[in-house]
Amino acid sequence: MLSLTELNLSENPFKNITPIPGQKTDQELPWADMSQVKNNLEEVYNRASSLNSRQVILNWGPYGGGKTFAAYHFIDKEYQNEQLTQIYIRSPKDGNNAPSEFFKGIIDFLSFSGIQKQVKKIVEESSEEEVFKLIDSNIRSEEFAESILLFNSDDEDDVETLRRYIYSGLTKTELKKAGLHRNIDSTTDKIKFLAGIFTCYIANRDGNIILWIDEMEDLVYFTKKQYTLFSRMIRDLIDTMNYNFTLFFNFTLAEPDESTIELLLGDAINRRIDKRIRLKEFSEEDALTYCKDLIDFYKIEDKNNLYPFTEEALKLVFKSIRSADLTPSEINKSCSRLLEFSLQKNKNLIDEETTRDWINKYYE
Amino acid sequence: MIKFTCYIDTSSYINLSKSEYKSGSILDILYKKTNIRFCPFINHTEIPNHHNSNMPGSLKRSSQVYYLSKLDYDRDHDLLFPHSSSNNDRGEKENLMCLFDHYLDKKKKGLIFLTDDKKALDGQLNHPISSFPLFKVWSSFDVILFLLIEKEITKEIAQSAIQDLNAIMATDDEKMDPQKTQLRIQVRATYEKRIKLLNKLIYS
Repeated sequence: MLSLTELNLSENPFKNITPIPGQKTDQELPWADMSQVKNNLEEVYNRASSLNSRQVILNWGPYGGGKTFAAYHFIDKEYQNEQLTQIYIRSPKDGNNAPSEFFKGIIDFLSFSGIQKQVKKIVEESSEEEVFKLIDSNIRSEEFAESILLFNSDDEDDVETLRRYIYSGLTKTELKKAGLHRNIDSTTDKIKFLAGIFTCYIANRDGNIILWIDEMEDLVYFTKKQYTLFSRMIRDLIDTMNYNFTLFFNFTLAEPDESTIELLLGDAINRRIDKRIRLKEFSEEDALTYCKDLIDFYKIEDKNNLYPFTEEALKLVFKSIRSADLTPSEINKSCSRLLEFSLQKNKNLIDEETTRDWINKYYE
Repeated sequence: MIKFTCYIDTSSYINLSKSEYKSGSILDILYKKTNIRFCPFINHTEIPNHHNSNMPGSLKRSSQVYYLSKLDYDRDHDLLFPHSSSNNDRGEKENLMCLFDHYLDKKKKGLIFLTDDKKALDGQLNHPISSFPLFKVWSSFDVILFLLIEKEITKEIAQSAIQDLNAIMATDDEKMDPQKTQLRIQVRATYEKRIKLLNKLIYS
């Protein structure tokens, strides 16, 4: 069996990449083709790094069209950018507990210890009193400004109490002991608390909180009641975070009918969207550029060509994929299988004949 | 006014009973507007397994059971459903036989076959249904359109009910895979358009 290096490749260019967002990958996640989408997203990130504005962006397109990858790519790429705090979550799956799932998802992503570190840092830079004033002025809640400052405590009991306060709620006695008056109960409370935490990350500096919410199409599984509660929460978050905030919605839609997104997201969210970025199915030409960019990235030497594939072989692969499904994900799946097949067959050139053999075997 | 006679299967019975409306459910309004019927198997076996407080008790239901007279489930099963064992999807199959029987025996008009079991509709029910073009097939979503046409519910209630039904049906799915999600989105969008059309038609 041939090895990838014998085909002038350091790795399989079409391998499935599923990094854990928020953890730096060892290697850059290559962006291939879709230059317009990349430019649009870069523009959003540039604004986020240099301006204090609020942006709400909708990325939409077919399944496997690169929305999740875009989130992974930019979170990874901007990992070292100290002006940005990036968060990636999926939309809640359980309509009954959506506000809670959303709230805890964000806290989990930032991590309890991460928030502790951040609060301690800004208190060290100024004072507890200053931080209290800053949070309160942003969220208009002395109660939650007070509770967020518990993250600054070095007392283990305080920290444990704070954990329970966030994740399960405290009894009246525990609240009294901690000097607090109420739990984080309603969706408004949850948004105020989250916005208070976000304030600690953007305090006294330019920069942005960047929140990616993936799989927004799952809102279709919410009843009217569940949807109303959750959409109100998102709306309140957008309205509370009036500056230094970028929110990305990723929405998968098979049909190219944008009005369906409006129907599912509802008026309240829809009216707050500033920019819409559509990720379309590929044309044959787009797909070839996509493959070339990926192959080039993993090529050991002599770049700028499709080797070990021939152009005809790739075109044959694209034909085997339904045109409505000609997306990065489907191309990766097929080309990866074809590459593995060719290695096993000791083929050092993946031409039409090898591709036909693979298609016959794969679809038999 | 002559009411439609609606042969409802267990899936639709459950879905409509879970779709809340005022202090009851959409099923209550369907009861008011149509003659609900089902086969003995659905009444005795399937509904009791999924009974909830929005469903009528066994006494009320017993008057809605249709008993076959011309047809016989065991005798005619293989003629109507040659590629299926008699125990598979028994509720849907027996319900369809009851509907056929009702027409054949009493020349009953205005018959509706109501089911949300798309798999059964596309599968073994497809051939007998296409062979007997004397009735309409509805899903629970069509019930909402019917109630809108009848002015039993407003456009806003109809929109909420479609949203709720979509969510209720999804909880029965084993896995929310991307294809199923897109199907749900498509259903929601399609019925939204239908509601808007009907609303204009009725109130313009």
